[in-house]
Amino acid sequence: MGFRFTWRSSSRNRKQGRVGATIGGAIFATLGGLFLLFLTFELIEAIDQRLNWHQVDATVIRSRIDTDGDNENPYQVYVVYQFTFKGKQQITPEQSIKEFGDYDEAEKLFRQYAQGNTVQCWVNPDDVTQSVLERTSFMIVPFMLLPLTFLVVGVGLIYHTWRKPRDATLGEKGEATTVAKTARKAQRDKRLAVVLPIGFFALFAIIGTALTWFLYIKPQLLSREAQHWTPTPCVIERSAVQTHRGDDGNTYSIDILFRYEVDGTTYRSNQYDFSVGSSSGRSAKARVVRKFPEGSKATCYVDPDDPDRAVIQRDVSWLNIGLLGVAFALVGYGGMIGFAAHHLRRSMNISHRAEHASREESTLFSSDWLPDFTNVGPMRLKPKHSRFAKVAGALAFAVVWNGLISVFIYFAIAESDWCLRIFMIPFVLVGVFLIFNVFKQLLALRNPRVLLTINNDAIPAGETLDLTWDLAGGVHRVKQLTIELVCTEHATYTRGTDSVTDTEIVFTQSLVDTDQPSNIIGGMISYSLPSDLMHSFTANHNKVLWTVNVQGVIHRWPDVKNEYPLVVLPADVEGGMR
Amino acid sequence: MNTIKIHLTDDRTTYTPEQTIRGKLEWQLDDRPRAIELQLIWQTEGKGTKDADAAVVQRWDSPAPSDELSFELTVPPGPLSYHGSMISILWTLEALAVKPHAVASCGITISTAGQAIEFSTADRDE
Repeated sequence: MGFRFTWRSSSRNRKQGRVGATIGGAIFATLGGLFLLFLTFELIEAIDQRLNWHQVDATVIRSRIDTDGDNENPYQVYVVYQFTFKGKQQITPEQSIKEFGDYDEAEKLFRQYAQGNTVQCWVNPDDVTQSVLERTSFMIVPFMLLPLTFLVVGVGLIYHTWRKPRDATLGEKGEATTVAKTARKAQRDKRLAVVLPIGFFALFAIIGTALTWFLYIKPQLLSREAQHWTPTPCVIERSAVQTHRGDDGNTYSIDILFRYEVDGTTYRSNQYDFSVGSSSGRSAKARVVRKFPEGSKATCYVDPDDPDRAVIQRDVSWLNIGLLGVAFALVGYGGMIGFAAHHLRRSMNISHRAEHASREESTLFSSDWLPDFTNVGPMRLKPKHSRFAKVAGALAFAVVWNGLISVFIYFAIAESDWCLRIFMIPFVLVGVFLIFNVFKQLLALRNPRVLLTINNDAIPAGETLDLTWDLAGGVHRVKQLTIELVCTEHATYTRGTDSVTDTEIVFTQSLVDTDQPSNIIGGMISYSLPSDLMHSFTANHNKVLWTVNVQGVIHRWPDVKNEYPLVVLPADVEGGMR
Repeated sequence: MNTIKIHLTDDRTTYTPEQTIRGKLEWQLDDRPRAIELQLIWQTEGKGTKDADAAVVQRWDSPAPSDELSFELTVPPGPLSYHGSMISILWTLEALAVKPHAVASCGITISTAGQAIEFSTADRDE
């Protein structure tokens, strides 16, 4: 009766794992190391320029802004300047100082290096043909963190894979752990199981908040401010869809350079609207660009307090990609609060029941491998999920899911993106199913309420379970009622990168099975729990949980279905009598 | 050669909760160890990722390189030893010498009925 299952990994699997981990670590370390080396040379150059190069006055001979449509940052500032160093006059070849995606930024720098201006340059004393107007920035230092992380992770992975474990069991080379070490690791994992999810949700919340501000709130605020800007005639000088190349494919942005005048001064701007960054879907942007061909006249809106700021499209739709940030933030804050509340509730339950236990029970009741219970005597059992919680949960899931995919569907339709439309079909089907589930849960609200009263929510094996049931509200619709005592094992493990939980019912005892209306409406039953029953048990990855399961069959309507958790305690050693 | 051994009184390995496990530890090490630890640990085995916890820990700091001592541990109220369908709960008494290293362990059954609780799919009421 029963069987014992032992989980072991084979020696061959371990070797394959080591080879795979070594290759992976080597790739990480090589990529990180090469990029870090490149940035290190840049850093050395920056240090050299600050320590050794000489600062000299220079005069700008000529400067210009050039537009390169094939470049992600099409607006480049070119300068030719002259300076005198060690008695010799030097005239530099035309050099590009910086590239910009934003024309306003390019124009600011261009004014700084206008023809005839006196500026500072830095000259290499060992080679006077080398000079710069803008020295290499130390801002590369933060960017070194990423390749450094790759390098550390790669080397760490290789080291961890091949290092000899401490505390190895004598006489068994290669056996990595003692049971005590396993226990310490499991307890460390238990603490991480609390900290990591909160950290994960916190990251979601931070990213979501930042995305919401930059992609949604800030554009909305700017749009509202721009409603008071001055409409001004402008001329389109350049009109194109800018391509931004990325690892996962290209994204696009609208690049319309327009010229306008305020109080006799000519300005230029390439801010079409208040959207940030670039996105997929070229055709919608191409349609906008076609509306504003080069040489055409249009109306722009100029900030009366700062004529450098101007925009052609000042309105921002409330339905835009910024809503993704809102969804991220909701998930993040909701997850953090929910997880922390769950953990706090559990800790408080363990403290509370230990406080109210007898001397003999105190050690048992303070054990954290028992699920939550109150042990207050006769009480009404609460279902695992209330009816309203089921509706709220189904509704929340359907709203978040359908809200997210609606943004993608909107863009798929607006930008005539057929690939995206086809890709979204399975997600739409899931969304439809979720909506159907909401209606099902709403219908189930009209089901009869099941009230279960029990002698205690924590009963030792070997003692008696006294259960009373009452149904209220449309009881005549229930044609069959079953109540069962069920024990289920839950085993959670990692499969690839996913966490999977398998469940299996290991014990079922039918308590009530009736189609008699007089018995369906209410009754009472006593059941003696066998003394050799497995008690309730909960750990991070493995659980043995007991429930009272109620099912009421209703024809052509969602059935009454509820699970009521209870706790079975270990049998008393004197045969089950406490 | 570093060795450590656990001798249980009457070679008994099955206990009920709140009973006392009595026995003797004996060790021979090349050098004075930092400590000798005796731990009573439960761990799960089976389909799920392993869970474990040390329910009782006793420690002796800087004992002699070779010695023996008697010990007594109170068996905790649970979890009880269990062999289920996907999950098993096993108890181990482990003695560990810390630097130099030596380990000894023996399986313990904690039960109210003399043997581990067993469930299988055959226990479903059909």
